[in-house]
Order: sequence, then C-alpha cells, then structure tokens
Amino acid sequence: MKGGFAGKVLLVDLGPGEVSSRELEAGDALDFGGGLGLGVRLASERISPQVEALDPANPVVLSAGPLVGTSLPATARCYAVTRLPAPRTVGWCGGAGAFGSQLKYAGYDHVVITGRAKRPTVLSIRDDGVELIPAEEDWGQGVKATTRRLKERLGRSAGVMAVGPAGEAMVSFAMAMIDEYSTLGRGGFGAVMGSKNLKAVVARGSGEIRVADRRRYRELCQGLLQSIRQYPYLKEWQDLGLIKSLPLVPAETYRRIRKRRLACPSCPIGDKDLIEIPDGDLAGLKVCSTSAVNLFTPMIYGFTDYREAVKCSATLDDLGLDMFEFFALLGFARALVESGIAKLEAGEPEIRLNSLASMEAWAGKICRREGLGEILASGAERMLKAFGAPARELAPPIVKGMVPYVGPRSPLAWDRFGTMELGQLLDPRGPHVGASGSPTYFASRPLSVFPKHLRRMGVPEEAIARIVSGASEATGDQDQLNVGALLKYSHTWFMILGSLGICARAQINRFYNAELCAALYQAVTGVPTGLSDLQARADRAWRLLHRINQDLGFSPEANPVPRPWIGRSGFKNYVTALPLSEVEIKVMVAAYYREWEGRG
Amino acid sequence: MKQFKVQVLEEACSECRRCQLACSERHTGAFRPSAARVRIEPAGDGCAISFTDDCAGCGACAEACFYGALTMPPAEPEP
Repeated sequence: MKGGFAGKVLLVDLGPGEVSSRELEAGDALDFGGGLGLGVRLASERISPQVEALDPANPVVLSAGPLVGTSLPATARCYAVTRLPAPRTVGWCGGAGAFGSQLKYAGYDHVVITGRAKRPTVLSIRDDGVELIPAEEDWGQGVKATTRRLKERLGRSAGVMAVGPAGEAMVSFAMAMIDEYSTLGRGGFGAVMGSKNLKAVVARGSGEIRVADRRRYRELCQGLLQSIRQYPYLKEWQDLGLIKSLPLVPAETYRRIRKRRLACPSCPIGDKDLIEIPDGDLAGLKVCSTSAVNLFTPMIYGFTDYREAVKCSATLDDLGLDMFEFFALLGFARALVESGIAKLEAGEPEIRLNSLASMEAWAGKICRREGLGEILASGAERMLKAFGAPARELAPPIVKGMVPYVGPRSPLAWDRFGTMELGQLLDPRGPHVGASGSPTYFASRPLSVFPKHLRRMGVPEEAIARIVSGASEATGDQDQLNVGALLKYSHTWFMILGSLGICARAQINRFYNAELCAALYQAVTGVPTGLSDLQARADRAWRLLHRINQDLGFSPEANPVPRPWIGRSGFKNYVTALPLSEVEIKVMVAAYYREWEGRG
Repeated sequence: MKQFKVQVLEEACSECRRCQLACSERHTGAFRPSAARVRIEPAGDGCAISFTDDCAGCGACAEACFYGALTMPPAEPEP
C-alpha cells in the first residue's frame, strides 16, 4: 500500500508488560479495508467462547482507518473491538478526538491489547517509544484530571483515551472518554479497560501520513470541501452544534453558555462544546462535551435547572458512566423501591431522577459498589436476577443486557420503527444511538426520497426496489419499507465509513457517498478499488462479526422482542404509523438475514 | 509563490488542525501536523496561533479553515 496506512500493528501484553509490533499485512488490510473492518479481523484471531469480557485474555483492538490523519473532512474516527460485558457479545465502540490521528502519526494503524497489568497502568504510544507507565496516582481520578495530566505531560495535541472510577470498578455500563469529549463504549468498554488495570491509552506522534495519488486526492477533496462550503446549513450547525437537531434549551441560552466550539481533527463542522455556566451556584463551572445536547440530557428525566443538568452530566462523564444507562437503571431501582420489592439501606439517599444531589450520590455509590449500588453497577440483567419475577413487571425494556435509548418506556421519545430501532436487536453490540447512514434515523420521511439516499449509500438498484416497495408478508400491504433489508445495507455502509475512518454523525457523512469513498480509498492507498470491492470488504467484516458471535452462542433467534415494543403503546410501523406486531418484527429480522445470505 | 498576511482570530479556533494538515501537505507532501508552519498552542481555555519563521505566507492554512480563525486579508483596492 502506497499511502493512508501507517503500516504497523502494535501488540501489547499487559500481563508480562511486553510490547512488540509487526508490519500490517497488506492482504489483511485489503480483505477487510482497514480501520473497524480490520479491527474485527484482528479481534477474531484472539476471541474464544471461554473468555468473558472481563477476563484478562479478552483482547481489545484499537483501530484507525486509512483516511485518518489526512485532511479529508471529519476523518478522525477510531474504534475499539472487544467482548463487551453488558451484552456479552463481541462488538465495537467508536469515538473520535485526536487519538486516532495521533496513533497514525506515531506509526500504528492498530493496537492489540491483551492480558491484565499487575498494577494501574497507562499505555503511552509515542513514535517508536511505547511505554507502560505506572498509574497509581491516576487511579481513582476522574477522566478530566487524568486526561489533563497526560496532555500536560505529553502535549495538548496528544490523544488520550481514559476511564474514570466507573471503569476502574468495572461497572457494566462504564465508558472510556477520548480527550474529555468523545465517548467510547456503550456496552461497558470502560469496564474492559478497568479489568486490565488500564487507566488510559495515550498516543502522540510526530510522523506523517502520505497519500498515493496526490493529484486525484486533491481533486476529490476539493469537490467534497466545496459541497460542504455550499451547504446552506453549515453556519447553523457550526453555531448550534447538536442543539440544532435537539433543542433541549433555547438557542439563546446555549449561545450564552458556550465558551468555545471544538472540533475533532479535520472536521469542518465541529459539534463539540466547551461551555461555562455564567451564573448561579454553579457559576464558573466549565465542561467539555461531545455536545451540549448531552449535557442537557438530565432535563429529559425531570431536571428543571439547566445548570444542574450540566453539572450532573459532567459528573457522570468524569466518572466515566454511560448516562442513559445510569438514568434507566436508577429509574428501575426507584420503581422497585417504591413498590417495596427493593429496600434502601439505612442512610442511603432517596432515588430522585430530577435531583442533582441524589444522582451524584448514586453515581458515587455505583462506582464504589456500595449497597444497592453494587447491584446497579452490574447492570439490568443482574437487577432482574436479584429481585426476581416481581421485578420483571417494573423493568424497562432490556435488549442484550442494556436499556434501549429509543422507544416505548425509553428516554428518547421516538416511535417509528426504522433501522436504528431494528438494529437494537440485531447489531451484536446491542442498543445504541446510531444513524448508520440510514434515512430512517430520527426522521419520518416519505418513501419517495429514499431511492436517492440509498444510492448515496451504495445500495444496488435491485435491492432498492426490494427495500422501498417490498411488500409486508405479514400484512400484505404494498407500500411498505423493508426495514430488514435496509438495515443490512445500512450496516454495510456504516462498516465502509468505519473502515475508512469517516465520522458516523449524520450531519457530516451526508456529504460522502459510497462511490466517492471507493475513489478516496484508491487515491489515498493506491489500491485499485471500485464500489463493489469496498462493499465486499465491509460485508466480509460484518459476516465475520456475525460468525464470531454465533460461535459465542448468540444466534438470530436469541433476540426476543421486548413486550413494550409491540401493540398500541409500542413502536409504530415506519410508513403506516400503525402499531407494530411481533410478527412484523420477526419478518424484518428474517429479511435482514436473507439479505446477508444473498437471498433477498 | 504569492504571499499573504493571514489574519488570525484565535477565539474562533476549534483546534480541528485543518490548517496544520494543509500546511504540512503543501510544503512536505505529507500530512504531518508536527511539521506545520502554523502552531496551535494551549492558552487558558483557548489557544494561541502563531507562525514559524519559515512560514511562506502561501495562505494554505486560511484556505483550509472553516471557522474563521484564519482568513485571507481582503483584496487590495485597485489604485
């Protein structure tokens, strides 16, 4: 490969503290594309059914694709592939910030981490100097303090992936954070790092990434940048970030507290925030976030003062807790306590989802695994086991050991059943918020606009005809959307983006299309690549991910549909808005797997 | 090479480093922010932008900036 790839895989065995590297094999890179796709391949070599998520032998594969480190817009994505504790499946987690590009400049496309360090450790990756640094003084510290200390030591441009006390305590919904603002790890990735005594991974490189065909690269890149500059909503996105799509507070409030717009490397839109509370008891509080929308999320649960919502989110981020899972499980616990099924120990605070004091207290108890906090820390399935059959009636929907963000009795009030919703059942990593480039993402669009969108995703014409005009076998209706088939192609498209390193957020990947991705791959790496080549690599990675999980015992049939999803108060058919039946969902699941088998 | 005096507005900088990517690629043929002639250093909650002595004033950094932190000066009026 003449460009794009840094060329090496770093191998770290934390147990004996051994570090080595090998050349990236061209065959593997070409078979799986790179980035996320090749990360799946590297993980597959080391996963075995006997090894659970928190066992030392569970590998963590960190990956950055061949476009990461270039100037292509929003190409900073990095991925972790590992067995996750909450769903117990092998899945991926994605984030951005500076980590991926700095890893590439340090000379590595992937890092494979195995074993468990004997003591708290930071893995420092700097050009040719890779060290395992004792981290006792960081252990117990929040994400913010750890990240800042490491950046002070290694330079602000370093990329830092760190866990907080939640990860250290192996809380099943612990996350890692990159550079304080990019979350990594729905499903408990933070716990996997904590199980390895791995406090942080930091990368800083002074090397370079070249592209194979500079002329062609410039031509493609200029076209892409021009389309972004001409986007009529560019300034609005830069001004409001994700508040534009989810206005949890008025725009004026947001503008008053926003101190700085932050962006991942190479991103022309920038939706990260540094905010500062201007007044009140929390005046002066400054918080970095993946977006201000996340900071205001506690208002969904009843917080009335946005300042306290921000403080609550900041606390959860600093501890490294998945905020949605945290609130969902506390909500479940509250219901159990109110019904008398669970009892608080003497001195334990009341569970009040709209109270900063209560939520911060419980966040601490979860990280210390105290009292009811011990059960909460182990997640939804453990709560069901601990409190038995009476708890089931009060439980939120649970899919792969986690509480979905979206749907009936979930925090995000969206009721149309599209690809993200079906993906909660079928994506091995379990429920998460992710567009996967699909037009059904948080929008009710007429089917007439789908073909254009699907062509951008690279969906073949014969499949488009199946997707937007496929009849529902269950209802016999003609004007239906074949969500199952669409999800298959969404997964392919997402894997293409992930393998190359392109941002997954809808407001940026709207500028990319599958043909362009193939042309960019060729221009950057020098490897002749058409659309079908790129799709074949992505599909190879997905099939491998399916197979790995089947070998672990997870089969398509083992995806029960949560009861609250069906019936009058459940999800609605995306097109007809009629209540969804379980039969319809099963038909979609069958259509998804048929599409993978080429029997669409 | 035409020389520009790039105008700097540090408070608009998002630290996306597109300027450093453009600069290093223009002058070395590779993406290597550490070799860029435009520097972005921490300064409190923000950053300080400066140029090394070998900055050629080519304006590649300003062309690459989407946030208004680096801009080309307005064209000089015709005499």
